[in-house]
Amino acid sequence: MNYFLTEEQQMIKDLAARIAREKIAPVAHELDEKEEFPWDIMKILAESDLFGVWVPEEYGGLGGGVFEQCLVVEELSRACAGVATTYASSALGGYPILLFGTEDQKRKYLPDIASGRKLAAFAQSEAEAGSDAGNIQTTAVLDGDHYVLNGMKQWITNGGEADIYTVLATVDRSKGVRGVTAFIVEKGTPGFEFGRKEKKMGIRCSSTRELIFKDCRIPRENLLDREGKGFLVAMKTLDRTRPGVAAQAVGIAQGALDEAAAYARERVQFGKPIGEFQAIEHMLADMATLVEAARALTYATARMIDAGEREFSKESAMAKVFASDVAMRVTTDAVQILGGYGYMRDYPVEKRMRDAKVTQIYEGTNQIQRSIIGPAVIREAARRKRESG
Amino acid sequence: MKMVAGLNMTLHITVCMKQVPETDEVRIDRATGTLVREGVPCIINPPDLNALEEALRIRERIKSGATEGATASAPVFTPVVTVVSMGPPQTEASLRDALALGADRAVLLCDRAFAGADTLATSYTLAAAIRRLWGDQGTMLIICGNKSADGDTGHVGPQLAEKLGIPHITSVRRLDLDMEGPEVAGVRAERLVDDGYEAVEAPLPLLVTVVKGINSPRLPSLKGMMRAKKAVITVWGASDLDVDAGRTGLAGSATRVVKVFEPERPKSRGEFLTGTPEEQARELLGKLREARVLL
Repeated sequence: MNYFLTEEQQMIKDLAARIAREKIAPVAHELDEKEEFPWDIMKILAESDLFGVWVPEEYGGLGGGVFEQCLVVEELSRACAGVATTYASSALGGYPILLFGTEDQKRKYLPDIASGRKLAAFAQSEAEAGSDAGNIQTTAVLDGDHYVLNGMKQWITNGGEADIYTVLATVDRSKGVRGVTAFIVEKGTPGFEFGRKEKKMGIRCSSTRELIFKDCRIPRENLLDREGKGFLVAMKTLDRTRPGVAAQAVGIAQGALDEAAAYARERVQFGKPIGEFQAIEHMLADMATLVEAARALTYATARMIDAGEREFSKESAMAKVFASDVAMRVTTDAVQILGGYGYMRDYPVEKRMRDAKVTQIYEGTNQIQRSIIGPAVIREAARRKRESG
Repeated sequence: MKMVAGLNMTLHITVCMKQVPETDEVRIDRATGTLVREGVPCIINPPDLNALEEALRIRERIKSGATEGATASAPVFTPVVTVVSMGPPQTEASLRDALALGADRAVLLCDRAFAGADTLATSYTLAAAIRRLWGDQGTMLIICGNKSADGDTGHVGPQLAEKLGIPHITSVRRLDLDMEGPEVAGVRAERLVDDGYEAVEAPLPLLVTVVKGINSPRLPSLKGMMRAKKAVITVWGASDLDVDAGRTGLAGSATRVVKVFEPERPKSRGEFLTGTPEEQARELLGKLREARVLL
């Protein structure tokens, strides 16, 4: 489908596609097997200016938005979702600074994130606080000119590799969500260490690690926005990055569809390519339709956000839910079409099926997304009733 | 003539580039015996990309003061990378690709009078362009790919050096600058030969041709692509250069392409021998004798 990209957007998409094809696809299998962090690829992405697509020009970026970021993530995900996760998580760590940072904070951190000289990360999850951010146990206590952080974050993408972390901690546990506060923490700060590196089902080249804070003193000016605003910082950030997860899902699904279609043309059984059997033809038709629908919803949402719409939590959640469910279904069907080969690790579709699963889970599970969409639908109904009554 | 970059001077690094049909797509029109160019995508001749990459790396090394032997203070001369190509107007696309990769300036030599040039006329025209570009200003290093993917002669580099009266080193697989303080004294090169490599030192000005293995060319950056989109490419025709019309293009060519043809492929059929290894060996021997391969 023609989405009528601008010349600049087409350039971004083409460059990301070229890097995916020439530099990522050839090493994707090996990165997955070795669970090796893709530093070489990150360096290429940095030199190509792709880390800065969403960052305003005054902070060294290219001045694009959520849509440009989605174009890059989709193309990278066609080759390797683990690489795409690593890339996208730097934006996830950087967005809170762009959206809520002071001018000084933006000038200090965004140029390095935009150039890819430094990776960023976003740390919300804890062992007992996933979607329930009000249950965050990591504490931040003001002591003179410093906040003192204590506690442990879990499953932090880019943990250990990133230099800049946006961390959620509570300044007052008794206040629940209203105590949650966001801070910028730099790697190398005394008392900030990294724990276990997780072994995952998919996106295995990306780093997922614990962050450990033991009397970690950070300057007071590293507070993002105000005390108690951390939950808002997280929600507003995730509203903008969820289309990125959707784009990742679209890329994974498209990659699987490409493999399945190519295989269906070449695999001959009973004297003809299996793609000529209606059973397979119809599967491919459904897969292609779903992928295009997911892409259309993702792009429409991203463009709506960039156009300046104020309220987009519902649409952002819808894009993420739909695209990630599509990715799971399409990758499963791709494995099915490749049959025995699909199930083998030497062939490229089983990885996509493993990678797809996480898009239904991270940056808010699809169940949580539906809990954002559902109430929004009810509120809209109530508003219509009020306006008509 | 010995030239050394002095204080506040420029090191002119010139990369000669050729636009060629994408290597895998070459087809020959059997009727006319010429290359089919319609609808065939054009790319920068692959080793010319290595030449550009080497030029960009030298520029970066000098700018960061990381060159071996450089003094702690940053060098006081500026490296400038210029890409020169002779070709039809569509060559501009490849020059923009070179600018996107980081070249400072691009010059296109484009004129009907340049068309149909063999390597002699090409190097004559390139030499005139390089004289116009740099004259006696600063120090020159010219880097070319060792040969083109279409012509495959490897002539243009050495011929260009001859025309300019400077030394050349061909098939370079490694290139290091020799610094004396802030000055570039010359280069040390490893030149690929059949049974290994030769270590060669030479002063500037100098022309080197590089092989593909010397480096791995970078990909363009988005900022580079945007800069390249807006950049002005200098276009020079015969009247802009100090050239004798009889020595450019087809008129100035010492060779004529009489015919381009695809060699006939021998028509052979595979044959499978069956039986025990002994039986197969016996049958094979018989067939080889029959074909008079063995007597």
